[in-house]
Formats: sequence, C-alpha cells, structure tokens
Amino acid sequence: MAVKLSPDQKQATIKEWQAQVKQLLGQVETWAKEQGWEVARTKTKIQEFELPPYNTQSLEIRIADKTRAHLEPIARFTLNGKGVVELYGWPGLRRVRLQPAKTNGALTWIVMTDSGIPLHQPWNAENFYILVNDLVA
Amino acid sequence: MAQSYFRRLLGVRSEYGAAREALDLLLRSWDDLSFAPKNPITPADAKRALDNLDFTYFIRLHAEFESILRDEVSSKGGAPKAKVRQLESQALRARGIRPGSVNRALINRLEAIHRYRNSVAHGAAPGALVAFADALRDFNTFIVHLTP
Repeated sequence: MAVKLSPDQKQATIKEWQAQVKQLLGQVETWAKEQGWEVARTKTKIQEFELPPYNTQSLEIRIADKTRAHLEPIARFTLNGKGVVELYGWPGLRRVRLQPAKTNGALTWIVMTDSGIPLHQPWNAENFYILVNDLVA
Repeated sequence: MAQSYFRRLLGVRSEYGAAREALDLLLRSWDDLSFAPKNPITPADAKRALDNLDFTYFIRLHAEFESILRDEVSSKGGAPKAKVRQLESQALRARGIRPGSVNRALINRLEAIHRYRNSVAHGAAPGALVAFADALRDFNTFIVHLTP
C-alpha cells in the first residue's frame, strides 16, 4: 500500500496513532492491575517506510514467575489496516493482533488471529483476560 | 542478549507473514495484474510456493535457531559444534546450566523438531509434522534459558 503524505500529514498521522496506542496501553494497564498483574512500560522507537521514526511505548505484563504477556505497537501502516498492535505471550510467542476501529465514534480494537481471522468478540476486560490466559497457556 | 535472540526469531516470523501476504495477493489478483512479473512464473508456481511456505519458513526458523546457538557459544569463547543438539548443550553449559536440568518435555519437543527438520532437509526418515508456530514457541522457550 503506497501512501503519499505531506510532512504535516505525516506528523498528524503519527500524533493520532500515538494517541490511540496511549489510550490502549492505559486501558490494558488498568485491566492488568485489576487482575493483580504487575505492569511495566518500555519506550519503543518505530521506523516505518511511510513515516519518519517516532517514539511510543510497549507494555510488559507479568502474569507469573516466568510468564508474561507483551503489548507492542508494530506499525501504523499495514495492508488493509489502520495500524496494528501485537499482544503476545512469553516465552511461547503466541500472538493476536489488535487493529483500531471506531464503534459509535469511540475507539475500540478488533482482535485478529495470527491467520488474519477476526475474533468478533468485543474488546473488554473480560475478553482481554481470556486472551492473555490463552496466549500464555 | 536473549532479547536480541528473540527479535531474530520474530524477524523470521515477520518475513514469513510478508511472504504469505505477497503470494496470497499475487494469486488473488492474478487475472487483474497491471504489470508483467519479471520472471516467467505461473499461477501454479505461486500456488506451490504458498502451499510450501510453512515448511520453507520452518527451515529458515530452524537455521536461525542454530545460528543463535552458535553465536551464544562463540560469545562465551567456545568453539561451536556442528550438530544442533550439541550446540544446545554447549550453550546451556556456557551459562552454567546442566542440560539435564532443563524441562524434559521441552527437550523432547526440540528433538522432534530437529528430527522433522532433518527429515525434510536431508530426506531422512520423516518425523512428526511440526508447525511453524510450535517450533517458534519451543525455540524461544529454550532461548529464555540463555537469559542472564
């Protein structure tokens, strides 16, 4: 997908994407803490073909001694998508991909399996816990 | 170090994903292609490449795992041995870990993966079919042992 953006459009795109990611990380951080899981943030620098390098954050969720889940923004520009954030288990690296979407004007996330099949489950705390437990199982 | 090892494995998965999307897109749009492919490939070639992709990238992933083990042994001043099972033991010992102390189920799965890799790469007796995602899980679970 070739994207031609002016420098101003690029900056606006980055800003919007960073805000979406920030909102997601805050939401997941709250859900994780409610479950009693420890959470740590890491700064991440992303380089995409269509955009200048930009900073964002990743989340590490400690489920048990050596079991973790990671929430990691991958890119704003993807085929058929408006951004992708990966949620994966550690150390097994099983993953799902989260793609932003709007429902009644509000930001939500569509969960896609590794083979590109949408789960058709609402993005909420309950489903997040199920997903994380499946990813680290 | 283990953090970059993990990134190397994920890099292979990303390439695999890109190759799958590219081949899938090529096949779906074959009749509407607005450019001539540089090589005289047929839809059957593309279909065969897609059908074998899991298999192809399994081999790539296995090679990356072996390369990581070699790098690990070398970084600790050792001389990497040729066989992957020996490399696993060398890498563990270099970290002061007794190979026998590693989860037996994981070691058994890794053995099955290596047998499968040999069966497809060298025409040896076939092992059980191993999916790319399962190999990735087990390789990274082993590599976690190399975390300081």
